[in-house]
Amino acid sequence: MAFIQLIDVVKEYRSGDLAIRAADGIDFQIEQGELAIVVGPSGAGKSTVLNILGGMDTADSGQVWVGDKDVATFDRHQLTAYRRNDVGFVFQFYNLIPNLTALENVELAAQICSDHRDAVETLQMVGLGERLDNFPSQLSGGEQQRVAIARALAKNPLMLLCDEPTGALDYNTGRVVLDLLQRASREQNITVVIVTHNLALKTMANRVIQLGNGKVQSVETNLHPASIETIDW
Amino acid sequence: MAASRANKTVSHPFGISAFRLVLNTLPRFISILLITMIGVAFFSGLRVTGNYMRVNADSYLNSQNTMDIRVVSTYGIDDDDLAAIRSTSGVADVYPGYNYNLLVNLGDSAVSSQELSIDPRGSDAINIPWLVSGRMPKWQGECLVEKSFLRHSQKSLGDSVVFLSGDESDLNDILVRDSFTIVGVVECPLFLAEDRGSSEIGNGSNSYFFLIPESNFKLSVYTEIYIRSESVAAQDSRFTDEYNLAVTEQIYQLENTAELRQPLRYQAVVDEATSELDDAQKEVDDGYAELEDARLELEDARRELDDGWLEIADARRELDDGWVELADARRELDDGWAELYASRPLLDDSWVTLNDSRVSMDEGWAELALSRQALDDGWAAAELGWQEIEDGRVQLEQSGQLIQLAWDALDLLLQYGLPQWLYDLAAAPLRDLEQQYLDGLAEWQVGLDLYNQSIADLEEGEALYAEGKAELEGYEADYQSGLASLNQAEIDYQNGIARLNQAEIDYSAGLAKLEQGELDYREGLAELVEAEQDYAEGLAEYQTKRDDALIELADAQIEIDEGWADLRALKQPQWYVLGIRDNAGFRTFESEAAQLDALALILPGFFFLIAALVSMTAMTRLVDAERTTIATFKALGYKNTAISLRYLLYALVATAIGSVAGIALGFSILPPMIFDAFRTLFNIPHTMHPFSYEYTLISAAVAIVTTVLPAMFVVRSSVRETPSQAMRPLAPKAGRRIFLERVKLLWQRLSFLQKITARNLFRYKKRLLMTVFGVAGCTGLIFTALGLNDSLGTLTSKQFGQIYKSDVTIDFRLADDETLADFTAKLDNSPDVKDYTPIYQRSMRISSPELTKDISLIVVFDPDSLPEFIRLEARRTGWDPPPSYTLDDSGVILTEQIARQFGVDIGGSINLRTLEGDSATFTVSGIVENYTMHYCYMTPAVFEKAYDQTPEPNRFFIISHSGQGELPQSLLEDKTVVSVMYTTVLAGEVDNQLDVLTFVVVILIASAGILIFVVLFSLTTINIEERRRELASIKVLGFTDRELASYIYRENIILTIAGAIVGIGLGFLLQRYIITTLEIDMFMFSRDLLWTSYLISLALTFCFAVAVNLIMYRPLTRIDMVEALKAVE
Repeated sequence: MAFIQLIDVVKEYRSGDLAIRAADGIDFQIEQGELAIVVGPSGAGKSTVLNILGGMDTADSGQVWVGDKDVATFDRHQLTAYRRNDVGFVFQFYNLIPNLTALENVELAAQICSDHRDAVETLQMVGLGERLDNFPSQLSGGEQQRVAIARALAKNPLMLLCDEPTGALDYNTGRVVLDLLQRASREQNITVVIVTHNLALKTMANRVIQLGNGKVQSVETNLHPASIETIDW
Repeated sequence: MAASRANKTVSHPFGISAFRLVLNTLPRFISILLITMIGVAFFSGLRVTGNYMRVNADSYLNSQNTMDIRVVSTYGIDDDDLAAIRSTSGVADVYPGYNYNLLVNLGDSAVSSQELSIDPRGSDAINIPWLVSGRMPKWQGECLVEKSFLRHSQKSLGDSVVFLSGDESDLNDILVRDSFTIVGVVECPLFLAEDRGSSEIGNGSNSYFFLIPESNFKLSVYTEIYIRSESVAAQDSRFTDEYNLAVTEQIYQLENTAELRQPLRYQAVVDEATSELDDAQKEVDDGYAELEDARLELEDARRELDDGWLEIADARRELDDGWVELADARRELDDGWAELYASRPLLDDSWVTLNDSRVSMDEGWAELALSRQALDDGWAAAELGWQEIEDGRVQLEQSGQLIQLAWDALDLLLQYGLPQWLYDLAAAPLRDLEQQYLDGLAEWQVGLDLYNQSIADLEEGEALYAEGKAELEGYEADYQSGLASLNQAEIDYQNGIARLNQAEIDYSAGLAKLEQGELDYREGLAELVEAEQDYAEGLAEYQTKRDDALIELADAQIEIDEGWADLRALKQPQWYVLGIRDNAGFRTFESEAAQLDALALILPGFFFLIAALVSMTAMTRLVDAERTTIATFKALGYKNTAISLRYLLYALVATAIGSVAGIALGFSILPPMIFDAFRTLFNIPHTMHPFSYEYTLISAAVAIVTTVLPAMFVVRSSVRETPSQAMRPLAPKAGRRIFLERVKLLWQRLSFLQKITARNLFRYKKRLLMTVFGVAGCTGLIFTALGLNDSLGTLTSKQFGQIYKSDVTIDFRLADDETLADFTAKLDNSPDVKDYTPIYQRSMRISSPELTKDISLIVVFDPDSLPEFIRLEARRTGWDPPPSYTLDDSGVILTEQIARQFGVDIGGSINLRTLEGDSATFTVSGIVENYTMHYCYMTPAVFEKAYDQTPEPNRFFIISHSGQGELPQSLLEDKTVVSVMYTTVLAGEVDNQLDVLTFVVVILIASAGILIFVVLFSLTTINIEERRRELASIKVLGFTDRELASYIYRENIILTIAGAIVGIGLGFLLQRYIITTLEIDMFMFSRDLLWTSYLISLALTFCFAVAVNLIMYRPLTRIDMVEALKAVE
């Protein structure tokens, strides 16, 4: 069985009388250590899937298998523990704690984890060894995103879930970030799921899942994903 | 201009969007509205309460036509004074009335009360009583009472109430009756507060007032003049400076009148007193004269009595003589009778002899009678013979005469011519006749001779007869003389009898007279004895009466002398012209209203500040959240003003609705509620709800300004941004190193999360300040409330347990024949009485040039035992035991509050004036802790020296075994006991009064607590909302609910602790402030704070904080991560 397996996941958002089916029976699987990219137009259900997978949201029905556990059956506490130990998030707008330095932001995540990496090392790894004591406001967008990645990696998670990680970044900065993510998957065997609407990134992934209208349109596997340096968009 | 154009361009979609904005942010809208409402409600409500009280008081005082000025004089006011007052410029109306303090009988006790006359002018009267129930008096014997009297005396309308004189004066000199029927319950504008004035009788202060028709008063002068002034009457309110100015002006006018009247009145009184004293002197002199007269009269009586005794002795002697005489007379009489009876036989013998001679004589007489007969016959015959001779002679003579005549006639005729012839013819017969006559003459001669012979014979017989007769007659004479002498003897005899009988009668009369004399004598004697007795009685009476009279007269003389002395010492009358501010009730009311103003200034201001801060924060948040919308509108080409207007309107509408609701709420709830509480202290029927434009506008303006203005700044800065800037989400507040990090030693010791907390705390400075301030306010207010409770609540236990230790106080007045020892003996015999001490207590006035206050003077007769009854110690202010004072002759001891009010320290001096006007200055030798009333303690020596008057005890402080002071019924009913006061009752009354204040304060504090709670809640909500994204991020990182909550709570707890500490300090100050502002005259609030107050206020604050945090727990943990972290699109 694959490391991540979603079976018939359904999620409906209600807003008054209006019901939007963000996920309408989604099925896909991702193997451990893969870098998967979820693409699709706005409103296709990409983020919904990611949120459900990351334990930030729950599915209305269906199964979400991660390893040997069905996350869909978790209660709030199990979800919290799941997020805490198994999942690393990277957001479009970084969501760093503005009041904490780069190091502290990483430490904040690390210290609640039983099996965490050294925060300084992690930051050095993402290339921010010199800016440990800078506050987010003192960092550029790319640097902030790298702190966010460091924060996610410091937890030593089973998977990294990234929601449009380069959405707010310029081209070069975006490449650095994506490179980090790819390296995490390749070097540390961390399963990385990236939600993006940038189809150009498809070549860097082991697996590309195309969503549309809450459904999986297609799943492509790429046996030889390209390195970031080779990709251009 | 710009706005109107903007409006045109705005039209529908923009308006709809604005409306949706309200709907979408309804909680925030409502919270701004509510906070504004509460703030405005408190501010306007409290601010207006003082005014509300004043307006109602004014309306009441005006409707009752309450006096502006009252004039009293130490002499009372007479009609001349009154006329002078009436004609003083500015005086509009005057009511001269009476006012007297009497005891009112309450069954087992009597308390002092004030009796006032009713102005009978109905609706034109001054000081019209406010009829609560019943009716106004129609008849003289009816009266009006106050509610509390009925409550305390258990009486009701129709019952009667009896007054007694409280001093030596006779009630009959004051009132025409002593009993009145209660016909109505009233409130009197002169008594706004509970104070019924001080009294020179009873326990020194009046408990009630009674209004009685003025015709009941018998006083010769008015005791008060109530005045309404023209210029003053034009003022609407009595609480304004204009009013005060007008009153001061009028008082000045009246004082001028006083200057004028005082000496005149003085002279009038002196003149009257002089003539009265002269009269009295005359009476005394008359008395002495009368006494002298009585003495003289008694002396006369003595003399008369002595004479009487002499006289009666004479009478005795006379009587005795009479008896002797009478006995002699008896003897004489008896002799007389014997003599008389002896003469009788001799007389009888004489009679026999005489009768024999009679018989022989009678025979002689018979013989003689016979010879007589014979003679008589002879004589008769002779007679006849004589007769014949005589007749013959007469005839002869006649015939001779005729013949002669005839001759004469013829001769005459011849002479005259008778012819002779005729003569001769006639002479012839005549010669015949002459012959015959001669023949007859011869015959008559023979007859005469014979007759002469018989006469001679007869004469001889006659001689013989005469001889016999003479002899017989001789015998007869002897007989007659014998008879006569016998008859004489017989007469003499009879006379003797008669005389003796007369003598017998005389004798009897004499006897009777003597017996009468004897009776008279006895009567006279008895009379004399009686008179003697009367005299003795009279004398005794005189002697006793003389002593009394002499004493009386001497007394009268002393009195007169005293009268003179008094008169010499008499001072000029002193008028007191008093404005309504000198009325205790008004003054208390005014200061209470001012206290409310003071309270209303600080507390609602406090509220407002917080409310403003909260709404400001809320608006800032709103505008921040609306950045993108603002940017969108801007991008669409809306003008800045139009966009600003959208948010300003939002704020304006919220605050406007909030203000209106707040004003409505504030005006309708707070003033009546507080006023109602105060109405247990003040007798003002409240009639109107004033709407104050002033406070409405102020509070609404403040509310709007504090909400709209910040909104404007925020909006302005937002709309100035370029659309592209604004489109981007507002950068979260940048993190910064805080000061604490520089203190490496400390910083390194903090755990990671503690560092985060520390940095977070200082990151949101506004929130930090507001939370600390909010919590501080909360703690402070709770602390203040508890502190006030400490102050007010412990007041009675301190005053009536620790300072005044007696359980019972009794006022007494010794009967004339009773001594203090007699009375204390009764106390000694009362089982529950443990200890007692006598004092002399009276009301005095303490004054400085600026201030005059009532004060109770306590003269202590036994200063050594005083500490058992009254603790004379200064208030403890630190850890050291406070100094304790003992009373001696070096000065007086004063209570703290009054000393503070007059700014006197130990060693300073005070001036005390009696109600009669004697004033003296004393040195203060101690200032002692005391919470109710003002007292001045002194020794009798000090008092006597100052007022030249020896104080007599009139009151006992009693400590009982039971602590309840259960005095035996006999003592309660004792005539000497005027009234009995139980400390528990007194303490209860004080508590009641304080309860009202406590109530008001508690209302304020509770309301403040509510507001603070709301503030805390809002702040926490805003805090959470503002940091939603941050919290969601943390949550995504896998923080458990608990870790998440503690991430926030840690901050809150620290802020709460900080706030609480600041709050205690704030509360301490606030409590001090409130206590000093609220402190009423006569009550000093305790300055003590109990440690429990610190604890409870801290605990309560934490409870509040915990409650708020608990309430926030769920929303906190339910933060939707997806929603919160959603990329801004």
